[in-house]
Amino acid sequence: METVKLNIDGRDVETQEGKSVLEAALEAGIYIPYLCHHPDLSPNGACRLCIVEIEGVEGLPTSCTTPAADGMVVRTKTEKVEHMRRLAMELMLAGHPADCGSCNKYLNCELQSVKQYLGCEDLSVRRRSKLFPLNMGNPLFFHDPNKCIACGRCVRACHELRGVGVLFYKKRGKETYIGTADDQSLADSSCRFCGACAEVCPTGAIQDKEELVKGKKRKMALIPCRYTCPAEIDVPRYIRFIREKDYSAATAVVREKAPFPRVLGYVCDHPCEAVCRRGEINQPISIRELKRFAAEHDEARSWAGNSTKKPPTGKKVAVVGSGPAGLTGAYYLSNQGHAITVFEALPLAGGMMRYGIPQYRLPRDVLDGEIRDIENTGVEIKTGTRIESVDRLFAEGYDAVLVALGTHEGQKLSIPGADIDDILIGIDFLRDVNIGEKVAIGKRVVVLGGGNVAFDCARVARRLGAEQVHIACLECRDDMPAAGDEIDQGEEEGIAIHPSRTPTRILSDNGSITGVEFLDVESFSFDEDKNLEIEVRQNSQHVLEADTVIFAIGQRPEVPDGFGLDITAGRLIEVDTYTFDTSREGVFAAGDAVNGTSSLISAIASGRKGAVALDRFLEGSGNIDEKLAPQSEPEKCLGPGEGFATMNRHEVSCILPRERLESFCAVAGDMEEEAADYESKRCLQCDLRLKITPVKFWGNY
Amino acid sequence: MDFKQIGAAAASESDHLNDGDCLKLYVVASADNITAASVFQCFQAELDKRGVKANVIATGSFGYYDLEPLVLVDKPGKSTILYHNVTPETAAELVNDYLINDNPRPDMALGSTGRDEIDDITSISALPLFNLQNRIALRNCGYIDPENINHYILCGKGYGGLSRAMLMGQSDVIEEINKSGLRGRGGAGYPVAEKWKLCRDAEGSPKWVICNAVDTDPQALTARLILEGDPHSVLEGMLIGAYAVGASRCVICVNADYIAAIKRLDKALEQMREYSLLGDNILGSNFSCEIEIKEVPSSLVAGEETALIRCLEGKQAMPYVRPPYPAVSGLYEEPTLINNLETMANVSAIFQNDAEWYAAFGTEQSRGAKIITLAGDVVHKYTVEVTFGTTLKSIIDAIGGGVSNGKKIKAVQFGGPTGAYFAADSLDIRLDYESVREAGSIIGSGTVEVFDSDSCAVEMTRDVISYLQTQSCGKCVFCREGSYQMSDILQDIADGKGEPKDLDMLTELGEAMKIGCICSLGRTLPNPVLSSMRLFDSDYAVHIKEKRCPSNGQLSPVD
Repeated sequence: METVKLNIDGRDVETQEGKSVLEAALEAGIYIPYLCHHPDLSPNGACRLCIVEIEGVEGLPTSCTTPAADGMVVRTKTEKVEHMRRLAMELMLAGHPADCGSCNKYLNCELQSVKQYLGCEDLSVRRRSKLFPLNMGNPLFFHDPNKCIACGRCVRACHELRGVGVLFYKKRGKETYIGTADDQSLADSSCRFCGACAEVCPTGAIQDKEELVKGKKRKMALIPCRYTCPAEIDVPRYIRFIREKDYSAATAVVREKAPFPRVLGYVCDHPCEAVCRRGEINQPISIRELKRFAAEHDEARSWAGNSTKKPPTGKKVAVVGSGPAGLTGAYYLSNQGHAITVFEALPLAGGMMRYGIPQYRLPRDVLDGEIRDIENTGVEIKTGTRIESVDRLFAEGYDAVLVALGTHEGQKLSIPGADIDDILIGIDFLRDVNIGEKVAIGKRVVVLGGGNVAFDCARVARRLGAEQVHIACLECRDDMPAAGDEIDQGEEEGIAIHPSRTPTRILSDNGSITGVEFLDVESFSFDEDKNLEIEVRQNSQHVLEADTVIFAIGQRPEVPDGFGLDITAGRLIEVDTYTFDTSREGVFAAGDAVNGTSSLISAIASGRKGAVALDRFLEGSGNIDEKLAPQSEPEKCLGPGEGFATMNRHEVSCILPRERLESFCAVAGDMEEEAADYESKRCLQCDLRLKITPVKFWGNY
Repeated sequence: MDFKQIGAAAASESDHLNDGDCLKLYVVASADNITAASVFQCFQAELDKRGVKANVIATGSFGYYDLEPLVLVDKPGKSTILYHNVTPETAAELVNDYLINDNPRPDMALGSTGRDEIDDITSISALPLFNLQNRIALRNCGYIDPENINHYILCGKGYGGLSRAMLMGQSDVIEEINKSGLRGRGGAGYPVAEKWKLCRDAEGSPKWVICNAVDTDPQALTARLILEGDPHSVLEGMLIGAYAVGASRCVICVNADYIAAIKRLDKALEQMREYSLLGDNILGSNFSCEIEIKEVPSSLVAGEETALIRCLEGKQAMPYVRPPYPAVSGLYEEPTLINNLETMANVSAIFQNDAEWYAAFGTEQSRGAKIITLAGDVVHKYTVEVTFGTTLKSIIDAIGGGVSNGKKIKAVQFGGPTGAYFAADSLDIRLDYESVREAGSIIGSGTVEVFDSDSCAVEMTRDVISYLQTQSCGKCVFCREGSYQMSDILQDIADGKGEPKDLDMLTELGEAMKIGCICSLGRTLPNPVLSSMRLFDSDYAVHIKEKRCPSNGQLSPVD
């Protein structure tokens, strides 16, 4: 590209051929005010702020539309220019609300910034109120046409950048405004809700709805799926690959942050879906199902070829526990070149993925396959090996230890009758069933607890032949901690849910359980010491008859005595929240044993963080991120979105409840490719917005 | 088919046009004239009934709207007589009285044209309406059947211009235009040859020719008149332009609500194709060209060439900053020649005759003639074509019949809504590009709007600015907001709420808009404001200081 030399305000400036005079000036640090110019959009020449004088050129050309040319002599601050500039600014401000302080774009507003630069506080032109109603009727964005200065950035972003083309200059009476054809709602006008309009708006005319962004970091507010995910899996990116039918690349994106894409596709509690911005329009994207679809169609396994293992460091690392946190830590640490041994007390690896989650939710071949992938990176897993003390590990020559014990010790309430022999502990019950032991179960089962474990117990009990299964929990129906699909599927399988109950005693006859007595709960809370305080309804005693009672009210880590690490008051392993250091140098801890019982994806994220800390301890870089998927630039032009807003979420079909109860076969059906394609096309591609070049304010020149 | 073959085919199909023994009747009217259709039918029925052999031909308008339907009777061996305001009843009388009984009915006649004088009927050459005009672009309007290409070919050397141009070669064509001195009729008067040269030399393919045949000034019905009356004169001009610059695609843009014009254009294109005047190998040469019709919504800004290009690209009709000029990078960023339809109709006339013939008309810098539409407080609101250099006063008096109701003239706005006002004492201004520009106005759409002595300068300025404000596309700040401020200020002054400083603001805004706006609409928009303030400062003063309107009662109207 040819270099162009010109003189701006007495300074010799160089730029590339094809750049405008405005760009040449800004590059050289010479500020020329502008509002309709945007680095990603075609020049418009509409706000007239960037006018300059050019020797030999008549009038006051706009520098944004004038190509820089050799020998050009430009003056940006002559009296004539400054007079016209101020008048242009005053004219833009004439109909703009005068009170900047009450606008939520205050101090973050390009218009305000340029206004200050030009010193346009008092106007010689007539002020007016445009009297447009605020448009709050659209999801995600609100539009205040009174603040619009008709710079046309949003129109160009909508047409040129995105190819969507739903915003237009319009007139109502004497006023110009930006709107859709026939002033339809964005949804009806084929908007794709990409947010480019709000991103480029230099004033507060088009903004994100306050409730969606207030108090949130920009990334969290704009790409909530990715940044709500504890492991920060790049959701929009893998959905994009699914749309491109590159399922292997999609899976590789997941694997950049988590070595269990397929397992997550079955059982992730998908916090991403709860915050998906598409949910503001109709329903969130079926992110989990898409992930599962991609992982199950990753025939090419491109991630494996792209994964690089660093040369051996000569360091030995012991990982205690082979659950999601432990195996995740092991996998990434192995790739850092350390020699990894995972110790597992139980006969098989997988932790809660194997001994907690029932097979009908997570088929075992899925789990086995992904554990094998981890072993294939060189991770050695010693099952049936319980570690009683970290000292022994150091004695055996390990340089560092990652403790990820999980929470395998179930709890009971201390209520009368809780010590009856036949009473089951949920997590033990599930483990026994998963191992394949015969578990005696009555015809009538009451499960105490409202979380996922409670539902797992109840649904397993149904599959083992229980005829009446009840779940009773403290929380009210809407606050039950179990995942929505768990609750729905449980009810489909005939499980009766009794929310807002507290058990007062277990009833028995000659050592045989006969039922549970409850009180209705009005409300409950925790005091400063995290002790539960329940307000019950008077005279609400009632009994649910039962042959079997299962406690599923939470778990704790099972830390052997003399393990060698400090334990918190809540009987969790004590760690520094930031460094993941335990009380013992060289020992790091992660997963449920540190955080308490949480989700699979939280455990994976925790395992990664533990691995980072441990790698740094071993003088590694701590950079465990991998580039497994192609680094392609996404297509930024979306095209028209006719019918886009009304595309309803595709729900995966489940097999009939009657059939489910006959075995432990998987409940959720497979997604068809057509459905995956459809669902991926529903994505708003919120991440594209951050690809828009930010505009520098004049203070930064 | 070469041109000779086309001429022969046209002659054999429409032999009556050359037949001096054939009685011909022309019913002349705009397509929206309801009476014209019944007059036409009445003639046919009456002629049938009376056993008179004649050809009845429906033509487009002359532009003399209050005389329509006009009927031209071309009786063998006689001069042609023009009858005005013919009704079905008088049509029947004409058949009986003149066609059968040879009584030319002077009471109904406007005039006659031809070798022999007819008793009691004035020769039209003695009528100012006719003798002040020089119809070049409008040469065939009212004289041919616009739906029959043979009429265009036989009556007006039609497509002879194209044939001649194609024998000349591209460079000579542009040189011929250069010699003719033709300037663009879109308003700004840019030399046509310069534009054509720029486009011919531009790299890119395909090149486009766009004919701006949109009436954007609601008072000027130029495009409607030509397209309804003589579409081929424009289409031939477009083909000559396309040939000269090397374009293969042409678009003619028409107001979407001009149903008759569009129908006639459609028919014209169809007939051109039959004569190999369109499509591949035009006139048997290597020159191939297509013309398509594009309907565009009526708005003032759509007349602006860059806005029109955006509109054709399916985008909003909004101007963009030049350069690049359309001739270099226009429609779909390809070289694009844009000319107004009046320009194109002149082009075909130049080649049907020659450059010297054309250059003989008009003034040194403004050759040829200009279509003018009279509007406002004038007796006859005609569309006419006068040689450049004709004075405004003569047009108003001789053609327009002076001010309606016998009042005096207060002001004349020339050039369309963004033209400047002229006071009554400056109406002997000669209409040509230079004189008009020196006087602070534009040729623009060529509209002459007359305001009588009852008019108030503040009110008439307010009215035109508030109209223009609605026509601003809203893109650039000076036009959008400047026109808004102006219209508010003018409204206040008109309402007696004005202050002296308002005049300073109007001036400041006006001067800023002249240099600050993107397109010519915005840059010329202050013309009426600045000129009326200069010419009629006393009207403003009375409104501001005495809080009343000089035209409504107490104060005698300003002369």
